[in-house]
Amino acid sequence: MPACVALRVEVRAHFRRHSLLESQPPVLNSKHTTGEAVDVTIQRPAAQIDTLAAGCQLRRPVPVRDRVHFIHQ
Amino acid sequence: MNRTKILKPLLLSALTLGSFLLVMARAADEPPASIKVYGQNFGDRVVYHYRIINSGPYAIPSVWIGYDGKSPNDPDDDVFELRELPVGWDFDIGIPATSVTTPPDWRAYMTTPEESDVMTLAYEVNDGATASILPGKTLDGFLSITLPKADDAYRNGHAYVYFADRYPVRATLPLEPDDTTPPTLSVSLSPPVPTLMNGRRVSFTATVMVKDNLDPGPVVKLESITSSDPLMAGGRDIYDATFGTDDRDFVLGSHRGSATRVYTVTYSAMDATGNKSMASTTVTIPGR
Repeated sequence: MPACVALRVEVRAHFRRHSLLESQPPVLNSKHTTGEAVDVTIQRPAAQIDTLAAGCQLRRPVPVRDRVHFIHQ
Repeated sequence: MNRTKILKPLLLSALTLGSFLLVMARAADEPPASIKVYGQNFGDRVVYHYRIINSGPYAIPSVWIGYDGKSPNDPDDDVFELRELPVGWDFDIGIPATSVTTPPDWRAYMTTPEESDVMTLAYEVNDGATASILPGKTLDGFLSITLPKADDAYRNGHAYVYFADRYPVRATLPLEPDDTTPPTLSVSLSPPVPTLMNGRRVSFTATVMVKDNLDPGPVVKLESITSSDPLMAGGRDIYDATFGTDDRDFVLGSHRGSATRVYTVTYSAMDATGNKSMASTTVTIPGR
């Protein structure tokens, strides 16, 4: 068994606790840090989400790969 | 004691040590692994196959395709290289089993950075499994990914290879072609003996025969049509030809005088690994 298994399990637990995705790392220059973006999970069909967002002057720049990410338009 | 008798063994020792250090330095520079790739076109799908050769002394538990680690100690300059998602990829389920193959006890997933349209493809051993690629071993015939269309970074980008019990644990290596044979290609035009329509033009259909050693569907493109004498301004003697596409029907005009004109029609065929071949044919059109 690989020596780092215990460490990996611990790191994964931290990921889960903070709702982080191993497959979606943060970027170096994020619009979140400049206050221009917000992540929102909405349980609605995609078209409905985008209509609602447009009404709030928001849009999703990468709707497939980062579907919770909204920026001000 | 003769000075030569002392210096000669010393000189030989120094040369031997120098050669040894040179060999060691060269060995350290050599990549400890190589990642080979070949591609296949299947109409609406492109499949890339990977082969991992572990030539170093450390086991390999993970390889990322389409990731350039740049400087080893600065994660901020790393580059995600892939743009095309696998067929059927979904944010929640990841890559469907129909679009990826892995060895037993391995998994595959796309890493898609936040706010970004680039990504990487990760193959790695499942947690707790001992299926790493051992030193001297090759993982062949297991790793593949299916895309809706070609993305060159899957075949000519970089691989980020993880090594067990080594520091640094990662190395960026260029992806290498596992197929260097271009498709065979031949072209002919119909009609071979043209008759002018309205005394000015001839309509042609090209027959293109293409075959590749690994790719069942190399991409064929009409590259160029050239003439033995200058064409009208803007190439207005060539009609209905769309260059850079698989266009096999076009119309060619005759010389405005009585001279015959020879056209050279050139097609290319490229397999999904990027090997390209060209073939040309000529046709002679009588003057008016």
